[in-house]
Parts: sequence; C-alpha cells; structure tokens
Amino acid sequence: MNNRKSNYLKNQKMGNIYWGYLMIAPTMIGLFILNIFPIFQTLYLSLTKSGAFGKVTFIGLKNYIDIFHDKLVIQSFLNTFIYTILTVPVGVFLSLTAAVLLNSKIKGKTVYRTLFFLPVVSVPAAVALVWRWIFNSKFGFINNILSLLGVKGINWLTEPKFAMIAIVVVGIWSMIGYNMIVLLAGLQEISPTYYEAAEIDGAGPIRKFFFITLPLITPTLFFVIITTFISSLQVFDLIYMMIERTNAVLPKVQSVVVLFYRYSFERNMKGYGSAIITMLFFVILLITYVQLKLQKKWVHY
Amino acid sequence: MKKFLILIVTFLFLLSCGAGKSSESSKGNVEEGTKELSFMIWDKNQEPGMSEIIKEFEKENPNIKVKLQVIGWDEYWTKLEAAATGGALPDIFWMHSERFYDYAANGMLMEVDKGIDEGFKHFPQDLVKLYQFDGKQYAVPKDFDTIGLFYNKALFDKAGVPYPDETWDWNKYLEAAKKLTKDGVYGLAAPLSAQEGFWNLIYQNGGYVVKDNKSGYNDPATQEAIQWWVDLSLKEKVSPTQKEFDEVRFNLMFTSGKVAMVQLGSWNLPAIEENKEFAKNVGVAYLPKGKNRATIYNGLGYSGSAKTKYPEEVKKFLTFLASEKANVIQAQYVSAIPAYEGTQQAWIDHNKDMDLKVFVEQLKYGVIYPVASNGGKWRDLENEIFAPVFAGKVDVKTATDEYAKRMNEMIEGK
Repeated sequence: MNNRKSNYLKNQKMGNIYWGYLMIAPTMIGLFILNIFPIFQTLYLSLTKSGAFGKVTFIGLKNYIDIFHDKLVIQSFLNTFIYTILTVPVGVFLSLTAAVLLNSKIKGKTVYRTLFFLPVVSVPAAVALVWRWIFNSKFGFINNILSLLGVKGINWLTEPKFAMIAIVVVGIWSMIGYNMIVLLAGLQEISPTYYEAAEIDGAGPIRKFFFITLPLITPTLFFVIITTFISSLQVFDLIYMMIERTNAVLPKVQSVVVLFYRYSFERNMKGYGSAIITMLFFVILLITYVQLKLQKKWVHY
Repeated sequence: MKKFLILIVTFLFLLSCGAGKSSESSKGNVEEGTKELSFMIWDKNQEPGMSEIIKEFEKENPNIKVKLQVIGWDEYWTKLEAAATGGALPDIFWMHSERFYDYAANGMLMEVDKGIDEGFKHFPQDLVKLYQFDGKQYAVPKDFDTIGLFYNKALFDKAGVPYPDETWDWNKYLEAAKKLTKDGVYGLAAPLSAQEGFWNLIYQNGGYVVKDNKSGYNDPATQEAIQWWVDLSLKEKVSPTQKEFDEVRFNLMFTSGKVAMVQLGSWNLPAIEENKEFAKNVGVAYLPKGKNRATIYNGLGYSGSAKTKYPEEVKKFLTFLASEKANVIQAQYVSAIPAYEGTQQAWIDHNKDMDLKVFVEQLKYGVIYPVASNGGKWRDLENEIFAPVFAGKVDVKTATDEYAKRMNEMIEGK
C-alpha cells in the first residue's frame, strides 16, 4: 500500500519533469540554435580566414595577432569605452531621477511615464534618422535654438569631439525609458512603513531618499547598471545610422560592433570580424565579473 | 521510458504541425500547379517598371508567378551573400559588375543560354561581355547607365552664365562654377563619390582605376585628376565640402537648389522628376572634357540562381527579360536606359525638357565600369582612405599611394 503510493508519487513527479521540459523546449531549442551554437561558431570562425560564400581556411591565432596591430580596432575599442563611460553614469543617474520623480505624487504621472517610455518602443534606426536631422548644422533644431541665443552653430556630426557627444546624447535619451521602468518597479517594492517610521522620527525628503530609498533600491540599481554597461559596449545602430561612411569622423566614433559589421559583412572578412567580436565578448565578460565582485561592497539585499 | 517516448512523439507531432502549417500558408495564395519565383532588386525607383514586366510575363505564362522584393543597395549585398552562403539565393536577382566576379567564380549563378536573342545581337557587346566568366554567360544585360552633367537652368539664368554644352572642358567648368557661387549657392558639387565623381575625371585625364588586375591609383594622371576634384571644394571653394555632403547627400543639394551643377548617373532621373516644378528647370549636358572625353558606363544584369528549384521557369523569365518587349517597358516606366538596341527612344522622349539623348550618345565615350576581384572589399576601403583627403587632413598623393598598395593586396586576395 505504502509502496504503491510512493511509486505513484514518483511517476507523478517524473511526469511533471517531462512536462516541464516539454514546455521549455521551444525556448531552449531556439536559444541553442540562435544563441549558443553561434557563439561556438564565432569562436571557430575567429581562427579562420574566410573566403567567398562561407569557405574558410584555418589560420590559428593570426587574426588575434593582427588585431593588436590594427589601429582601427584599437581606436574603436577606445571609442566604445569613451561612449560607455559617458553614457552609463549620466544615463543611470537620469533614469533614477526620473523614476523617483514619477514615483511621487505628481499630476499626470502616467502621461509622463508613457512619454519617457516612448523611445524604447521606437525603432532605433528611425530614432537615429530623426536625431540626424535635429543635429544638422544648417537646418537642425539644436543649431537653430543656439542661433536664437546668439551662439554660432556647431558641426555636431562632422567634428570628432562633438560627434561623440551627439551620439552619447541620443544613447542616453533612448535608454532612460527602459531603465526608469525597471527602477520604478524597484521603488514600488519598498514598503511604505519605512517611510512612515522615518517621518515619525522627523526625517525630511532628502534624508528619506539617502537612508531609505537609495539603500533599498541598490539591487535594482545594480541590475540596471550591469545591463546598461553591456548594452553600451554593444552600441551599434545609432552610430551606423547617424554617421555616413564618407564622413571623416567615422574612425573617431565607430564602436567595436560597427567595425565588426563593416569588416564581416561589407568587406566579407568574417574570420577577422569574429576575432574582433570575440575580443569584445571577453572584455564584457571581464567587466561584468569585476562588477559582480564589487557588488558586495555596495548592494544591500 | 514509455512516457518519454510519448513525449518525443508528441513533440515531433507538434513540430510537424508547425511545418505543415507554414508550407500550407505559403501555398495558400498560389493556385494548384503554379510555380512561384522570387526576384530581388535594390532600386525602389525601378519597382513600378519591374512590376509591369512581371505582369506581362505572368500574362504569357499563367503557370508562373514572380514575387518581387526590393532591398536597398547597402543591405542588398549583405543579404544576397548570406543567402548564397546558405544556399537560398532568390531565383532571379539583379547583378552588378562590381560583384559579378565573386558570384560567377564561386558557381552561384545559373549559366544563361547564349542563344537568347541569337547571341545577344541587339545588346552592346561590352555589356554582354561584362557578365561572362570562363567563356560562359551568367547574366542577361538589363540596362546601361552613363554619368551626365545636370544643371539648374534657373540658377544659370540668374547668374547670367550660358548653359553647359559639348565644348566645355575642365577650365570652363571651373570658371562657370566660380560665377555661379554666390548667395549661398555653390557652382557645383564635388563629393567623395567614385562612379559619379572622380572616376570620370581619372579617365578624362588619361589615368585609370584598375587595369590587368593592377590598381591605377599610383599613376600620376590618376592622382592629378583626384587632386583637381578635391581642390574644387577645398581650394576653389566652388563646391560644398564633404562635411556638408555627409549631412545632406549631394543629389539632394542639387534638388534643393543649393548647387547649380552636379554629375549624376542616369539612374537618378526618377528622383529628380519626382518634383515636377523643379524638373522643368533642369538640363543635362555632356561631362566636361579633360584631355579626353570620358564617362563611366555600367550596366546591370539579371542573373538566375545556380541552385534554383525551377530552372526551366527561370530560363523562361530570363529570356523574357532579354526581349524587346521587356526593354520597351523599362523605357516607358523610365526605370533605366534599356540595353536592347533601339528601345532607348521612348526613354529619351519621355521628358522633352531635359536633353536626355546625352546619356545615350555619351556611350561613344563610355569607359566600362572598372572591375577586379574582391570589388566589394576595395570599394569599401575607398571611403576609409578618401574621407580624410576630402576633409583636407591627408594629401592626395599619400592617400592614393596607400590605396594603390592595399587595393593590389586585396585584388590578389591577401
């Protein structure tokens, strides 16, 4: 009797496991075919020299050696780091500010939330094209405003230092919405009882923010910082759409992924391109690892 | 174990459901027994003409349907190459001379019956040969294009400068440009553009781009021509700088009345005619001559995939595309200058305001589009090498010497 029951339970349990696997199978298969398999394929390709239409010859580590002698590659890693260092702190700060403000009791906050989220649902290529016009030195919105203030127009997209700023601005603008929503969710997790207790003790809004909100939001903030770091290091479409290929500033602003695309698909050097992107993969891996280690110092769970 | 088997069976069943569904839905809109060919092109302006050709073809061959797909030039080659690598090329697609060599050499293209039009006797022989590899024909010539000098008559009248004509040489070109450059308007456009820009000047000056698989960029005549072209914006200041072209493309500078003259390929015509008021004020002249007369001429081809499922149907369609009828439709829809001899008149006549016969007549001086292996690679490098030159940061000689060296390496496949 007892034995039968446990057998039944066991079968039941096994059945559940099979059903579980069946349910996640579509995602798992998709993940394997579309994500995991290509990772290994890229690793292999990075050790080859590619000919036309997928014919490859094995050349060992030569691509990796070449990368270190290629000024364009080094420059584009530098560009990517500059972009990331400018984008992440400002972007995360603004997202947090927006989230805190939209979490308070203000009028029409759903409208604001929608407005902030709009860039996330817009097509990046279209966003980039619109910004290209906004930054146009002659007819653009920004230079028109500047000229009203009596400031001489700036060649936003054709001067190296300004082009990077222009791209960073668009990068920040398009990431605030998503981060804000995530942070907002984190803020709403915080129990109001903490604030009530603090109010009874006589804490003002600034104290409440620094001693309650900030510490309790750190896990969400950590998630936001890590994902923004990764996505900033992978920036592609903004630069690809905003900077023409005949533009002399291109080498000074193109990111690693843009260079990877140009080498792999426009020049058909898939092996070399794979080596570049593998390098980026390891850089991201390293940075993320360091951040995971550092989190113990500032994230409160 | 039994349950696991059931699971696998269920799973396979699910999979086959999905597969069955998709094949059914793709058949859904096609009748029983008809075959659907895919046809990929890159020029949106030519879509109406191509659709009309397809309509005519389908009328004659009710069992074949052709599905047209337009993808912009930049993405076209990326996509086509990925498709070729995966063995899934469209059944028919446009071919460009720059990329032809790579596709033909790797057995991607279907051999075209040389007997079509009794050995393509109605087509310019240079164009037919452009699409031959190892003595075999791999594309049906579609059209040809030359580069002409478009000018804005209103701006010329305002500045009191006579319109360009056949007597113009580089000096007159520059002189007129100087007179036209005023009130925020530039005389001409000298952008970083090869086919519509400095390539023409290279041949007018007796230089060359590539010959016998060797780069001609270190030839002094070539360098002199490029220098003259770059000076127009940087030294003479009769053209906007490349910086400005990077914000607004040079053809748009012309259609918005910011430059009075621009060298443009004949394929730009539909875009210019889009604005009817503006087009009335536009004329076309021969390219100004240097030491010689020259214009780059090129022609596209229609190729079939070597691995198509329907070779017979593709052959039928290719034969139709080579017919006079299909070429006349191209002329009527102003898609491009049709390659078939004698069908160009309709194209010339469709717009009496511009002197369109110039494009056809210039064929006499036409220099066939320079090609060598790995064209995609060295053409892409062009922008990287010349962008600093047009920005005035690197001089022409240094850049062209460097380019010649790397171009030769690329041609040899290093």
